[in-house]
Amino acid sequence: MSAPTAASAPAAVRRAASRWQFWILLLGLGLVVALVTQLIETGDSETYGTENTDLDGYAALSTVLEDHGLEIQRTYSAQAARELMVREPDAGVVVLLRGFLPEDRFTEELAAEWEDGREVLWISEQTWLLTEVLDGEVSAGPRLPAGPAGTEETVEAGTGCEHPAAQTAESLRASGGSLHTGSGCFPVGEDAFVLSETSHGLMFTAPEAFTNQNITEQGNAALALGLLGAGTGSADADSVIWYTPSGADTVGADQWGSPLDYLPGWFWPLLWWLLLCAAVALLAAGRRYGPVVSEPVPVVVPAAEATVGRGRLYQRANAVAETAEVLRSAHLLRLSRLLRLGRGAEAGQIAEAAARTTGEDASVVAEPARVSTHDDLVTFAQTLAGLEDKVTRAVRMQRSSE
Amino acid sequence: MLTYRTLWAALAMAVLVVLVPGWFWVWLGLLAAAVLVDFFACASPRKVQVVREETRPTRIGEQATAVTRLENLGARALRGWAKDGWQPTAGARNGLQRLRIGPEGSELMQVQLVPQRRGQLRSEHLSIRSVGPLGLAGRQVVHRVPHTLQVLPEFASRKHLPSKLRRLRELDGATAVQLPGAGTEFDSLRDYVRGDDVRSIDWRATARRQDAAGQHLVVRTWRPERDRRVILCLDASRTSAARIADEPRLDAGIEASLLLGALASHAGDRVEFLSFAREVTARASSSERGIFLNVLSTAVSRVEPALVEADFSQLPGEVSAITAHKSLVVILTAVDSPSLHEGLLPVLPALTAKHRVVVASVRSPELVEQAADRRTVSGVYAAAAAERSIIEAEAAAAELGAMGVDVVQAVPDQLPAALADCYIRLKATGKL
Repeated sequence: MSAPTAASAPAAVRRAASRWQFWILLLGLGLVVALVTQLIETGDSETYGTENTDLDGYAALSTVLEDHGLEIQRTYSAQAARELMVREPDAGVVVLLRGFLPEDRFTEELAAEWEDGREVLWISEQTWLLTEVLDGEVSAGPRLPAGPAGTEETVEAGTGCEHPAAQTAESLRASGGSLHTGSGCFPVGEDAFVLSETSHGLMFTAPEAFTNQNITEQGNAALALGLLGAGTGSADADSVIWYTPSGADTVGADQWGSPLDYLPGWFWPLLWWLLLCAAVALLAAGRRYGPVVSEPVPVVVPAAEATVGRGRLYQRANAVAETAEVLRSAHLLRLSRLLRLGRGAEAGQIAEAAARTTGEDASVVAEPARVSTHDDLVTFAQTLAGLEDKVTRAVRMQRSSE
Repeated sequence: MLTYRTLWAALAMAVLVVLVPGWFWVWLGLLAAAVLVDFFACASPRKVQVVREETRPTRIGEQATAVTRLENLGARALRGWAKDGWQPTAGARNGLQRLRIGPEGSELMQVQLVPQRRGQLRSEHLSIRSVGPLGLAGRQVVHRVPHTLQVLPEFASRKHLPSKLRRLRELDGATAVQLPGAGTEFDSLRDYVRGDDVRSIDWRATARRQDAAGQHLVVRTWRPERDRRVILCLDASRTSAARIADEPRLDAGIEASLLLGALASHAGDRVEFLSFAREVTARASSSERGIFLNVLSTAVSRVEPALVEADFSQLPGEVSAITAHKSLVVILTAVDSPSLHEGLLPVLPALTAKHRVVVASVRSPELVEQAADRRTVSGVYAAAAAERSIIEAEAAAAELGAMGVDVVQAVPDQLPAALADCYIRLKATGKL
């Protein structure tokens, strides 16, 4: 008899585990799937990213270059690029512009390096970025020609081309822009070129040519390898500094001190402590006294609902005449009862009796009313109600005087 | 489980964090240690036996007490709270109570209930929250031991009962010298007093009573027949779920059955009650043990409207199963034409052939109000719709009347009294 009415703790845990079995399994499975996808994913989905295996990535090119013993050192900050340049004086520099301009100081440093003989290759499809870098030295040229269906056309290296890589490649097929430099390779129109030599380095305006999708077209692959690796003259270079300017450069340049540095020492501990207090408050307030209690609510339907709905249907159908007739017959029934005329009384007789009782005209109930508008209907209904009121009063007077 | 005291303690310790921020982990460790100590030091809420004590049936609006005995089987004193999980309409005033049970002691938990609904109200569980000596943390366990409270209908029309009973007694008195006829039975013989109807003189008895004192005329007295059968049939189908004024049609029907049942059983009639939708859902009989009003209230309290069409076709069978004699069959349903034509009308001849049938129905006061609204266009349309419903209901009632059925229609408040009046009238005129 004196046994606890709740199950023992281990039994309760076992029961909870069996009740939540499905969800626990589902959670475990989800964790495994998430882990596996994390491991499989390369993580690079950046356009022209050297590890991006999508159509717009450079993974094919970078793999081939690495097979040739060339190491690609990717960086997004000018400072890191600068340090790499100091560490590896022979390495070529590739600057891929995608929306952000490098710092002016770094651009100048690169120009100086180029003067000193380091390989510097600027790649960008947005030619206005390149003209910014060159400080207006050159202007943007036309875009590479495209065929009727939007397919790119092949561009030949051209007769004035002096770059060995371009000469080897002979032709190029990709979309992209060009620069008005006067001389260079792959001419578009009169004096605009896709690959040209400027005061800051080599400028290449068709990065689309080196993507996984287009690298196999025409001489694209030869040009890429020539520009980045094998053909770069400095055969002893075994790495390329691959710099993509990003927002990270501008953030560091901010000269303002952070207001957080001026906070007292206890601030952060206190903040963490208050967060802990908030968690305690959540736990204390969120614990219910037992399960939620449900109330089996009975079904209750307002009885007048059907009648109100029927009235709306009449109105929507504009049933003016029918409504007037219903009202008239209802009042006729009541009047005949009031005037004690019996069940079978005719409308005319009732109207006559009502007129006699009240001494007023009661012909509205005698025959179907001719109403056609809503206003008429309301007036008619009010007249009927008025008539019934008068008859009621008159009958009561009569009976009390009898 | 943490309490608010943990929160206040943690907030107070924030001062320490400000004063010696370097010891953050020390403060955190202190707090965690206090909480852990409390968690393990509290009495186990599992080692408690919950014993529910039986409740007595109560009526809506009356106060009841549900008693639960909590026995601490553990060796530690249990401090904390207990929460009885009564459903909201049970109206538990103090469902959450502080607990303090000594080791191996027991405590009575008394929950005051003011039920707002009839039927069987339940509390499925009782949760016990045990808090440690510091009051910072504890453990909580749910004991699933159900408790029920039978809530009987309000029987607000009880106030009509004395006056109706007086009417019945007056009827008895009035018929003391009533002539023999239908609806009356022989009661007794007594001496003739001036004013008695000479036709009620029993000459044979007078002749037998000849003695030396002289002539004594003896008259027979009569009284209304007793031991008639009244069968109350309550329609608990979809039409009974409709709400008129502020209560479902069913509730008015229940009130009316309670009043009539109480009245008829007092008058010495045998009363049977059955509620039905597709099949019979509840029964009560005055031949059962106990006070009939309580028996009927208990049976009626469990009736809930079912969202199905009523099956009237089995009604004659059920009635004939109850009695083979002529009886008063009261059908409490809704008199509106569609359901009536399909359900009740076809089976009525089978009932009226043998029994006297009364159909009681609630009239909607809203309908009359709506029919009188003539102010706006939509008001007039709604009024026409209401008028139409009234005409249809009247036609249905007339049709019932033509079949020899008495129809009682009244607004919900007045239906019980109107039905009782109808019963008294039938009894007075000997039509029962």
